[in-house]
Amino acid sequence: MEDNRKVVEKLGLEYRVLSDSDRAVIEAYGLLHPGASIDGGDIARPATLVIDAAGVVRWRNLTENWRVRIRPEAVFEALEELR
Amino acid sequence: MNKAAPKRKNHLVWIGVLIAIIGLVSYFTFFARFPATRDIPWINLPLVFAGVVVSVLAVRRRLSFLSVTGTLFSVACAGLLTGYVFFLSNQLPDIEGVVALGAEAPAFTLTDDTASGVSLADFKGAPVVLVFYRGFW
Repeated sequence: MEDNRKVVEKLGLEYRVLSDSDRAVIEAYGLLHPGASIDGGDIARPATLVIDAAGVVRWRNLTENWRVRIRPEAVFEALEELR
Repeated sequence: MNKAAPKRKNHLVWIGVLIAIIGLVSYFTFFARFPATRDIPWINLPLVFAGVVVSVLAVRRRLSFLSVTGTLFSVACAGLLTGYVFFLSNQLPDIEGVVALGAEAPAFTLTDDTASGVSLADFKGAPVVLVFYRGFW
């Protein structure tokens, strides 16, 4: 939690930064990437999801290469289509 | 490094190695910060391979233990970057098990930067963008 707060402050973020320390949510979303962490532990597969007002997953980007992530514009487009 | 007046052929060996090292290291320390140069390393891949070319030119100028070792080193740098960019960073798990489009997003409650728990349900009635960060690559 302390690390999250530092990141939010340092970057001036306006969104929430959550911690999934036991990977429970990562697993619930099917995004576990076993052993991929720097220390050999499990982390998430890179992913961005857009969930609509009713709680349904309407858009997702999972990338095929962890160096390449979507641009914000792609998310804005997805949100526009939800209107 | 040898402080005696270097012959031209030695220069080429060190130049090739230096270019290759810069090409490899600068990707991770600098160019990877910007999507334009990170997604397709159009600066760093040519750099490391330029290092290999210069090293090979050094070998052609004079075949020696130094020039061959320098070339092997440059090739290693190029191999490392190529391997990372085209192979290692593709190693991601199957997406079969990922929550499907049209499915209900699994509920959760997690702690955030301010110690109050945050639930997905808190946001019901508005769209949510959920991004899974890894903390590094």
